[in-house]
Amino acid sequence: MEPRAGFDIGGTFTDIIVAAPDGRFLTYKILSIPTGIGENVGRCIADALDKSGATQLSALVHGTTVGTNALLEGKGAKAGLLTTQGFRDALEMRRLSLAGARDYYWERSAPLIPRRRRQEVAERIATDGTVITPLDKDATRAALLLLKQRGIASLAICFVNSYVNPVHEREAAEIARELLPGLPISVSHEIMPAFREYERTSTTAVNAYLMPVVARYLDSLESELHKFCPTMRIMQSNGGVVASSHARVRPIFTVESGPAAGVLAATALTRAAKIDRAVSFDMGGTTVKACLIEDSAPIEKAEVEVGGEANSGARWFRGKGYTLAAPSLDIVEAGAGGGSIAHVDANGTLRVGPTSAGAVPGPVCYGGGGTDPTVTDANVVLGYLNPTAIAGGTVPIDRPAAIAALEKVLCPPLGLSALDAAYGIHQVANAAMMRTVRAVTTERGRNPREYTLIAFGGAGPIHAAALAENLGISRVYVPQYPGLFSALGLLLADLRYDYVQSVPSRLDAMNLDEIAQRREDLLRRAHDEVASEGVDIAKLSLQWFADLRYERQTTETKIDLPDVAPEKLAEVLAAKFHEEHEKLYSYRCPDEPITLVNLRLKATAPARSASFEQMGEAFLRSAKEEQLVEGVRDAYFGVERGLLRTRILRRAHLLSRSVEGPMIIEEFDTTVVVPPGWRASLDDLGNVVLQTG
Amino acid sequence: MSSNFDPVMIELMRHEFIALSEEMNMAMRQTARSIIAKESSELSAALLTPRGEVIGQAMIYGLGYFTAVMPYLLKKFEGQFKPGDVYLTNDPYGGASHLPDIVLIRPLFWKGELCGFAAVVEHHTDIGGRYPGGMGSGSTDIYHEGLRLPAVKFYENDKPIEAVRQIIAANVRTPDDVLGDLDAAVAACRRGERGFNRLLEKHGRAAIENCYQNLYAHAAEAMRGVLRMIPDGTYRAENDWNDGAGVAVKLVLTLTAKDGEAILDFTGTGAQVPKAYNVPPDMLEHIISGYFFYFLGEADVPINSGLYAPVKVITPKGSVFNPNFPASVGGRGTMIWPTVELFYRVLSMAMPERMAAGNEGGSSSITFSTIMPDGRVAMITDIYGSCWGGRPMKDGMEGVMPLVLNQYLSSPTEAFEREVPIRLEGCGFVPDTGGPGKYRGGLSVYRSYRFLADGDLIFRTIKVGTVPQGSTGGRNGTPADFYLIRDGKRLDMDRIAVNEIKVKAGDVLFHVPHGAGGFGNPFERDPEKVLADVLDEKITPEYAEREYGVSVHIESETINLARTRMLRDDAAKAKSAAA
Repeated sequence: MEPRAGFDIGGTFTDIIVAAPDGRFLTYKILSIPTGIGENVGRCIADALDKSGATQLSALVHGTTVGTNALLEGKGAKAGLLTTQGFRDALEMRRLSLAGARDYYWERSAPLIPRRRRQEVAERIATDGTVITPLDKDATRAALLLLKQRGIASLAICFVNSYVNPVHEREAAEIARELLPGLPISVSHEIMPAFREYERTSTTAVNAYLMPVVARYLDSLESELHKFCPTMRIMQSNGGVVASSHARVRPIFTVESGPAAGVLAATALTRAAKIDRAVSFDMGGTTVKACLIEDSAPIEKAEVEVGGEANSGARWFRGKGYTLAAPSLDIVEAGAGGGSIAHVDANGTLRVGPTSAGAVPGPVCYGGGGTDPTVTDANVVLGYLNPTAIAGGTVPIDRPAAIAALEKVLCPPLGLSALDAAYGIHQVANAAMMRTVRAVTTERGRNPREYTLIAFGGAGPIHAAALAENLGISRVYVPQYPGLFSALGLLLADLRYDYVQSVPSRLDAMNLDEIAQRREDLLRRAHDEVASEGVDIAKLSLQWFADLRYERQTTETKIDLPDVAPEKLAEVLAAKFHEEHEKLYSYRCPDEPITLVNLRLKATAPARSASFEQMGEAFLRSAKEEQLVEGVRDAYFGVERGLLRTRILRRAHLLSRSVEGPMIIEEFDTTVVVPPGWRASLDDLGNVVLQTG
Repeated sequence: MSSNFDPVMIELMRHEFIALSEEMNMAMRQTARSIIAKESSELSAALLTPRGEVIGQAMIYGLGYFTAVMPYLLKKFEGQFKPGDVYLTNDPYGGASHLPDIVLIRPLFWKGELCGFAAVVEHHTDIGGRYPGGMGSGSTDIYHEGLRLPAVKFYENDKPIEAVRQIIAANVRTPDDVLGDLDAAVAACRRGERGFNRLLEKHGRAAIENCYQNLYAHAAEAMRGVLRMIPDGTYRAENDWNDGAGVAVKLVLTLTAKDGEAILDFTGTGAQVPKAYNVPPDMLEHIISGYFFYFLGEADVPINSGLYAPVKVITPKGSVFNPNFPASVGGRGTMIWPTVELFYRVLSMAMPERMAAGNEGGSSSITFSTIMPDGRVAMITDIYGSCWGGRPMKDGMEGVMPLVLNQYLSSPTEAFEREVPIRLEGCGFVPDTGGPGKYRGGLSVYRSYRFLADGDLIFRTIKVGTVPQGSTGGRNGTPADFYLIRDGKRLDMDRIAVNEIKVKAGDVLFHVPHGAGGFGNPFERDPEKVLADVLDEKITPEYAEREYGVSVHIESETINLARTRMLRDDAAKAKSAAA
């Protein structure tokens, strides 16, 4: 087998992991300096190929935050919207929603496509698909020319009721292709063939907004990396991977790509280590992210709002940010990472973040020109991070500079010593992280005490035990390669495609021929797409679902589509639906007609090229050979516990024994802090397991 | 604060309560049948103590309903509650609001003891009576307004009481909607029950009661914080309200603020009226004090009955705010909105620097009902908002509900045209509306409905005959307009608060609500903002010159600086000359 590579570009670092044919993993961590990122990744891959005696990769998988960043920073394309007359402002008004605000001075984010680039044309389709007003083609041309004049780089088309009958959207797209050749076009019925005009318009607009940005980004990456592997795959928000060509036309499916990869790796870990309930805790340079994993599956959601309310009730309320309907892992994020800058606010309170020092200039201790003290600087001052170099000696650390920065910026207004100020930063950062973990546990009625924390990301294992202590969590896993865990997740993911086809009809009046036809269409799409990726169709596994509801309801319940004779379908579906409805909502309505709304197909094909078992074996092999030298340095654990002589170990030190904290485990890609009161051991997959109590 | 203060436990419990009520809302909305519930979310769910106080809610909306209804329910059924019971009430003379708002309550038991209630309130599609939807203005007493449920048992031993279902089914126009939604509300309460039992199992009653006491105190303290923004003193304002159709009432409010406590005294307000604008006796107290909640801001404050603790409301008996039985109350919304305006006016006197210019005046609504070929009644109540006034440092919001409806979503046309023969033909900003200001008022958001069958239309609008006021040098907002288009011709409608008319298939209702008032001198508005509004076609270039003294060159997307300076200098000179 040829080597496989995964690379995850985050806010501060880019992580690269290459699985070599001999079972070894070669890892790289480089700063995410935007210019020349493809070239830098290429250099690392070339080095890995060189070391493993190969010339080509058999798989190249990428996790990215380009979509989220463009949305949050307002750096997407200058997009235009063509819509039905009378609906020009739907995108801006967002169903008149206040998102639960209780603030007289409330504000929502600016529309992705401002009014000047939203144009409407006469056309109207009725709810049953009949054409009421034919598309005014002259007006369409005029509107498109106006949009062209206003400099659009991407176009969204969304007409009312197009999910029932897309004829006008097709016609308009045709005209647009003629008039504006080469312009990326996002058409609503292709992107989200489901009802509710605002949600569909918004999803289409987000897609249009991101298409040029994502395409440009992938072009530049692939021009550098093509030589190693002809096809690059991208992690999607749902935790599956697809060909980059797919991500170019459907960027909405990759908006949460980077975060999903880490959760996917954590999920694979819960499966391998048999952990029922876990919270994945990912702390990088700029953010922390948490996701709930139960019974080896991360919690998913069908709709995401980027830049929405972070307050309680966030799942219930929409309307502040940008809604997009794309299956995604339910990840909560906050702006507190290793690079988050600490400052003293007007009230004299110590605050951390949301501003980050990023890759450039970076934390003070990296010596890249940063002058504002960050969480990482605090961790260096506290003795948690190695005072001379991290990342296997490749990133030198300047501890005196970090102390000087703290003494200059924070110590005078706080009236604290550098050590105590640093411990304050550590604690405030922990409090911000606690909110994200709470958002996925207590806020969802789960008691964090019953969960295992899976800590990763470059900074996660530094904070994990202290955070767990605050939350009453008594077990923390630190997997291998925690600092490159998202990159690792890329090698653990399978191909996944989600298809949906609207087939609205009453269950007792289903057109079985039509259903069979639609299923065949979906299946062909899946086959084509998978074949185009060079994957054997025989390896495809298919899961069919039907979305059903009682006729007068508006929310569907997803049911596994049973494999039964066509004439039995209605009866079996009805029985399953009544049962599921009763299970979910404690009642059924046997007399009410049931409507079949959508057919869904989830197609997956194996693409994973690593496993925890294999990594565990590789670790045991190498650990036995490792020359182990134990170190010691002072680390500070707050006023009560003070400055303690702390053992500095390697992961391999824990082989077949349990060690009591305080202790620090130093690794290439992260540092694990084990405070007093905790003990560390290893499981047979090579994971560090921290326990207390 | 209670003696056993465990900050982690309290924080955990706060989130548990929010998560639970959120889950109840979700269950309700996901299984409801009416458009107003499943699309627009005109509902709220909560968990309550055995004393009837709200423990925790995901959203503020509905808090007052539960707080007002529970004393009546407890008085009537104290000692008789059994596991598996469900109660209904919509009685305006029993703590409820108007008849379409049904509160459904399930007592919760743990180890054989009453340990609280789960409850849902929803605005239902119909409740019978002479006007579809129950909000017509012409009713002169409560008997006109439909089915009154004076706190009755709806379920026993977890089985519906068929007689009550049949009475409801026989008295409302849309039994499938109403009963289907009530089923959904029961399902939501069962969800709440399940979660609540889980909490009791884990923590025990005493721990939960202790947390609640702390959360109640926390909420009350947060409200005192809000009330402390108001300088101590007494502030009084009046509002002469009329419906354009012969009913006039003077509304009077005196606010006394003192060290984090407030008294809202409506003494002096006119007598109850022989139309449906009267506000049910217990309602105003909970609605109007609730308006202070919108100054809580982004702070993560627990939502529970404690928010009401520092506010006292006085409503004189026999007035429109505390009518004697059997006064009609179906159109109480028409009266509440001008009351809210009065409330804001009083606050503007107390803290002018914090308050916005006048908004559109409140939400408007249509209720359309028609008999389908199969004999069934198809009906929709669609409530909608438009815009807010300019605010200190910020423009008014546009294309948004009034703050009190912060849980509401407008119904998509793709959702309602599947069920009712009506179509939204358009909805969007009307250029050059709203009041100019340094921070301008929100633009009016027009709505245009086409009716596809003959039927009854009740169209409620707000603020007849006045316009939203500008503030601190900002200009007034713009007037509303509404009419019917029949066979291509405009048919004027009466300039009254509530129009009750017959419409024909093909008719179009066109409504341009008020544009909101501006805040601050428009000639001080940042020219870049004016340019952006012109480019977005929210205002015309002529309007920009006239109202803002800003000259814009559209092709190059730039400001004509010289001309702008000239226009603004002239205005300044004219002003100083006038002074």
